[in-house]
Amino acid sequence: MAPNNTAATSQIDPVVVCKNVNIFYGDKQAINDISLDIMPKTITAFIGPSGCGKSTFLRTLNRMNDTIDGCRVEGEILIDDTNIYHPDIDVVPLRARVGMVFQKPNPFPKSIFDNVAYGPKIHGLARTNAELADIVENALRGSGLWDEVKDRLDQPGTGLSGGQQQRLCIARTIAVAPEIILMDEPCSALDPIATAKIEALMTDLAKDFTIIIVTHSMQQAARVSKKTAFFHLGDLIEYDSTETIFTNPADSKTQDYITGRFG
Amino acid sequence: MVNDHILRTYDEELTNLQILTTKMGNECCDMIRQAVASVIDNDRAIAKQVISRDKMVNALNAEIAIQSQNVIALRSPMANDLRLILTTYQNSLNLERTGDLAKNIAKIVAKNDLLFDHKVRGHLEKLSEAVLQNLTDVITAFNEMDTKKASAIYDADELVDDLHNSFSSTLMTNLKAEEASVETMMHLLFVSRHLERIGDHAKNIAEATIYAATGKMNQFDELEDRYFEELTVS
Repeated sequence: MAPNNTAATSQIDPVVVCKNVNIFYGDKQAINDISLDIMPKTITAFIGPSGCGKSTFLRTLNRMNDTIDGCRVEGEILIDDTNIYHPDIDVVPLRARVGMVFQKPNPFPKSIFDNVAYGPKIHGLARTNAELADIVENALRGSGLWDEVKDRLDQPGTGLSGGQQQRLCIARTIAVAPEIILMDEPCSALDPIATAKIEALMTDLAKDFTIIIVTHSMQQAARVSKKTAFFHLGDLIEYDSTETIFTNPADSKTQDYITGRFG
Repeated sequence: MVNDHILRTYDEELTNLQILTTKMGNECCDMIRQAVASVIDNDRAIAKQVISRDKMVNALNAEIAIQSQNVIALRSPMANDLRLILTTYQNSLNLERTGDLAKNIAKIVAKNDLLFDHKVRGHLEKLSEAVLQNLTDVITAFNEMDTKKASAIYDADELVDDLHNSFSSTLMTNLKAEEASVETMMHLLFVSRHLERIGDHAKNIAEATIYAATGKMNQFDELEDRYFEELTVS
């Protein structure tokens, strides 16, 4: 079957609409004419073998690829009907609206409190210290970390365990009230218990946020996501409900990948 | 279909499930063949062999259940692999029932003397041959993931039903005419019914094979509706 690089979902309006997106690193094309819609308050998983373009595509959604020399994006990416690649778009508020959690937990070398307070401060979300404290507490509660750190908010974030650090990064992300959270293999450095806590947290967060996760773990995609997109060699091969992708995918490439027949 | 995973041990486990299904299917076919032979020859010794062979079928059913459970727990199968494992287990339950039905036929022989003429014998042979053909074909279809062969079982089962109906009518006619032993005719009605049920299990396996290969469920329902519509019209 030829790559079906167009995937759209009707009924509810999508929060992200990608139209004919091509991404290049210099002369090399990494993403080939992908169109895809992301539904609001849903967890969408991007899966595929290494080098398939899933992380590249994810990072395009908050223009993280702008920082890479020679990276060029063609096509349209609309978030709430606004093309985020329009020259007038300021990436700073965009990245507050579309937050990101990375593979390796990367807390600032600051206290737990300051890690979470940093974003709301620079975005001017709190008028008083009391308001800022409320935002920090809510974000830490939202990330399931509050009870574990409430008595040591002044201690360094880097002193927490890997799983706690990742939840601190999630707290930091949600503290600026984003609409969308991008997660790039957020559990690949974590043990199974810390992974389970992040997955449970993702399910809770999906009530308020749209989450897009890149994962190498197909079981993780199957466990947490509602929709799954399979990428291969820069093409979007298949995009469907997670149940369909993992029980009866339409494309033989998807089937071969998820059943462990090629990698 | 199963022999191309990156993990060769995974291939081996799936292949083993297919081998067990074939073994169980062959065992059931042998039991049915023997059970029918025991009826035709009124042979209690063969009937007793059939009864004791049922344990072997039950053991194979348990083995398939354990192996399926292990693959699900250890390999997290997806897509066609997952469907293959689910249908392997489902098929083993259907096969186990065919073993039970063969045993039921053998039990009739073990407890009774069955006396009947060549016409009755002819009906029984035709019905049992059709049933055994379907069961053999469907086991092959499952092994080869051959949806065409599996789909053909629907029509082939219609033939089994016709043979069962015609056999039953002959037995009822004999009963009414008081030309034969009432007990024998009653027992043979059960034998015919058991064979017809074995045919239904073969049909279930065929439907499961289509699901395993394509992901489409209950593919015979539509054909069944059409069949009943035709019946109503005629």
